[in-house]
Amino acid sequence: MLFPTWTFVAFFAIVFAAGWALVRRRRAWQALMLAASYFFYAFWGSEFALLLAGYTVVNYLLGIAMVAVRRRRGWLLALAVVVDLLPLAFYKYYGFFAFNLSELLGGLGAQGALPLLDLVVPVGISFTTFRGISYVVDIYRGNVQQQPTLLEFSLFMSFFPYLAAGPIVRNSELLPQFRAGVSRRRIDASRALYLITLGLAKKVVIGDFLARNLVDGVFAAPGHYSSLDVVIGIHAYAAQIYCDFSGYTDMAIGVALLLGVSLPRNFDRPYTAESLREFWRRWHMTLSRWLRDYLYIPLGGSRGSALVTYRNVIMTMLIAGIWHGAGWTFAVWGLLHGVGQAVEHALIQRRKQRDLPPVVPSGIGLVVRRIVTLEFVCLAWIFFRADSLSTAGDVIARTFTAWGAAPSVSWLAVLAVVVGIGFQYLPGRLTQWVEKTISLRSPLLQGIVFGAVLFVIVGLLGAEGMTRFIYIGF
Amino acid sequence: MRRRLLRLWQVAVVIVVTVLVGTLLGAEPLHSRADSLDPSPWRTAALAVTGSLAEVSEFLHLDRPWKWAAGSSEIDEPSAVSTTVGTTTTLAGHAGSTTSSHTIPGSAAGSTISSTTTASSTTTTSSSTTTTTLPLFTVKEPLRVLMVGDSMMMMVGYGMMRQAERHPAMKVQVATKVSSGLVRPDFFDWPKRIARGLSEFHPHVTVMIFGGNEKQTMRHEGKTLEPFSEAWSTEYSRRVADAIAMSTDNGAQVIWVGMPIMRSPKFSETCRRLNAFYAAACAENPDATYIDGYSLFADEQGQYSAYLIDPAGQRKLMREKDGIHLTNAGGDRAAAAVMEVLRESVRLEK
Repeated sequence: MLFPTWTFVAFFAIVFAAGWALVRRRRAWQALMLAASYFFYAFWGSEFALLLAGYTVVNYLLGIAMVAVRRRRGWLLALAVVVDLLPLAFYKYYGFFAFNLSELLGGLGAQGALPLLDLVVPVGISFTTFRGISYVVDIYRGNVQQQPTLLEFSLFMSFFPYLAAGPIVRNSELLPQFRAGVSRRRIDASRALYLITLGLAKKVVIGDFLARNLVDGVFAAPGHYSSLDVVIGIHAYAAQIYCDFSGYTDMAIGVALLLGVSLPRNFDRPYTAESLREFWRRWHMTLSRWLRDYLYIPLGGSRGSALVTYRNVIMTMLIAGIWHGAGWTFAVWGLLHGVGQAVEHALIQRRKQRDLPPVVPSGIGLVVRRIVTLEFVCLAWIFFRADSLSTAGDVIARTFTAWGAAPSVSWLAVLAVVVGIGFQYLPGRLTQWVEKTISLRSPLLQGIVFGAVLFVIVGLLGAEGMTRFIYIGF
Repeated sequence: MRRRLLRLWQVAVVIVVTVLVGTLLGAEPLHSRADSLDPSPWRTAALAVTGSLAEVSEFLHLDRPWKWAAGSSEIDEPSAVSTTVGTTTTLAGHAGSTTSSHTIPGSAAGSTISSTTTASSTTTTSSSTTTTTLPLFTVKEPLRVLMVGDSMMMMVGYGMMRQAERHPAMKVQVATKVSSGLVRPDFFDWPKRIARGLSEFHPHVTVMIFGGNEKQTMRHEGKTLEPFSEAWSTEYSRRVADAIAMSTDNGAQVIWVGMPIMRSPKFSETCRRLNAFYAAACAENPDATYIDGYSLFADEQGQYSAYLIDPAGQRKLMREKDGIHLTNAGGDRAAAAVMEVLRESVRLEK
């Protein structure tokens, strides 16, 4: 079930009403939300719901075991992590492994390759894995102050607003909210509806429009387009993936807020970053902190030599790349970001060694840094979007070889790219002013405004037949 | 001043008014959407609710923004992909299927060659051995191929665009509309769009794919026809034949690619039934050719498989995760089948 559908509207209306009717009965509220979340998930397939239940029970029991025993807790943690990763490895990476093995054996003239299975990857399996691993690691580290009940933990693993595509929440953010009960009698409804409306606009007006009218074509047949078309197409993908993913999380945060639950931010104007390190503090922020806390720091972080730090950065980003998808293109994407950040680390380190103060860019220097960062990110997006390394190579080659050809890109597409990337430069105060101004109006007027705006977004500007959210595939 | 937080009942008011205003403004497309659902109690309920909303919306004149926008989109439908590609063509790949041999007008003057061709019968509705004159198309006077259809056409269109990259004597224009079909001209008027493509692009060949969204009720002469009923089948056959005739009457050859086999057995059965309409219509028109897309994307056992062997003998992922749409490799497979058919009737300058 996707957010911007009438099925979800009907589903949410019932959950909203029932949820607030049970707000004083904490366990009943939790049970209702759990049932609603499994109902929501089962829309993609009841077998997925069974898998989610399996994840939940295994992590919960191993968490209890880790608390109960004092010795060999490391083995229990390793077991939990392996068990968490097994379904992900099977559903997401088996096909990639089997295909490449088949190619390798075929190249060597050998037989006996693994069968190529047509596996349906469970929606949001990567996000479920993240939640499971973070919970057992937190138990191991002693960061879970109070053992949750099975009901609370089940809800943490499955709460429908973030179930399919994040944000990647921590147990310390959600369990206290579930445990305390949703007792707030006043809701920041204007912010919730503003986020839902904004997310929908990003998705259907900009993201889907750019996908259908430029990006898909450029990455499917780059040789058909002029260099200018391809360059704009690459930037269009940067705008599309931002609008698609941040649009989803905006809606997720808004939906949760209407139920009285606060979720962490996931994006903070990422294309305004002046370095790759800053980009990753602004892009998919909940993934960045997960990678930092559960991968980069366990690898050693920056505690060792400079070379070890660079290795850890590159390893972390490489794994992040492979997490996004089973393919060499994702590995290259992660590697580019890893190497890029390692170079930034090295430059900072060099200034420190020379006793020079950190660079605080301003004016033209700041503009240049932002442009360089954006262009590097766009270069990496080529590998993220292309279906093969050869296609990525074709796209890159085309940006240099067809400047004489007449461009075919429409002004509407250019405008969508400019808006998709450019509106991140609008001051944050503007957003706050809009939210505040709306919140001060009467409920009736707020409803009329949101209803009219939603009609314009979906009915008039939105492309018919919404495309799948990109990150739901991860 | 801080943002004002609302009490529960106030939030409920905001949500109800939001939904009410949004649905009243969009009552007409919502009613149309409800009409396109599969016959079920849900559809009946949705029709009743949206029908009432549409009446209220009309009474309050809240339907005017939508009508105004719908009127504007009749002139130009921005969400339909339309791309023109200057490219070439290499003829390789799968056996095509031809119902007839054709003479394509508009080729380079005086540059025809004589040739004997034998149409393969593996994926065709009929086969024939004929002696014909194959016109030659050049870079200056390229073969113009118009690709039209629903979302299934996207990857096939991109496949043809890649073919055209290698064959500068061919130009490809792709026009697709997601969620569309011949059943619901109220949603997207394909005859009008095809007419526009014919008058603006003057194609020598029109390639068509429909079927992804056709299993729905059809409105005809004030009646609602249930999918695959006798009346529905008669009217749908007429619409398919008319869509083909629009091109052939304008001197363009038509190649109709049938729907591929699907992961869902239920949807596969729907596609198989729809393909019977397309094959029959092509068999009745001497300038139309049907490609059996169903078999083209089935494995050696005739079953659905996401992975199929490409012409180079390599196993490739041909289907998207949804078990419906094609990947780039799948688009190449379908495009190769189209090129195979084209090779029977035209010659492209190297």
